[in-house]
Amino acid sequence: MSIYVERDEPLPRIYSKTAPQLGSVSVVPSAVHGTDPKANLLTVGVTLAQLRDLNSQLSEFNQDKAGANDWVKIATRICRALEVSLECVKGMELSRSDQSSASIKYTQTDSRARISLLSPNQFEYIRLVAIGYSNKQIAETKGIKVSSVNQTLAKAYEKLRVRSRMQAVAVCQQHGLI
Amino acid sequence: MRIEVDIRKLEDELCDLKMMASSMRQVYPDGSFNHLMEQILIKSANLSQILSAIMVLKSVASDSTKFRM
Repeated sequence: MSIYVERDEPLPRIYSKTAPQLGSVSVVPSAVHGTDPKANLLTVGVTLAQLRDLNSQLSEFNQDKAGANDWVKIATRICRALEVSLECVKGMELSRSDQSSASIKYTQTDSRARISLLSPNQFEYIRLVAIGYSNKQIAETKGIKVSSVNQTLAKAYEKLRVRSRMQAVAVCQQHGLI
Repeated sequence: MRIEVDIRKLEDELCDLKMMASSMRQVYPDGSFNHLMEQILIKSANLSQILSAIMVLKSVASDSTKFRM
């Protein structure tokens, strides 16, 4: 299975500040749409800037057992974040396969309006989902019951008109909000 | 301009990454911990960059753009 992209116009500029292996990347599609670059900034579940920071922390890490456990947790979360991002990419592909640009633009504006309906709590939970937290982990972090988390996320999905956590994350990522 | 990305390869890369992350528990404390974590960060950065690029391509979809699976 592959993603196949064909364009007549040049691709938008992609700004990349790279360190030897890690760096931060921001993407500006405004060259095509002429809109505010920040509004279109897209990131994946884990950003290169975050990875670069982790890499510099790693160089100072002395291997004590407690610290090593933290790194194992970090590695697991990175994997989960990338997994969510990959699912989002695949989801976006399927949902857009036969839509015209007009309907894509409408969907994006529409979903932006729906995101604004989210309460700060609902948005925070989706942000945690995006970085790999399970509902149980969110409940532990916030000191509340798992059923409350389930309920809050269900209401958020309803507002966003999505059916799953992956889709909710994808909608927020589309607008560069998480 | 045409760009092709094999989703299966990305999935394989992610699978490798997860295996590396799970093996971190076993390699400790023989000294290779930092090296393995560094490899995980590098691999993650590459994957992250590819995923970002795909998202951009999709975000600028127009009538002249075709996406296929």
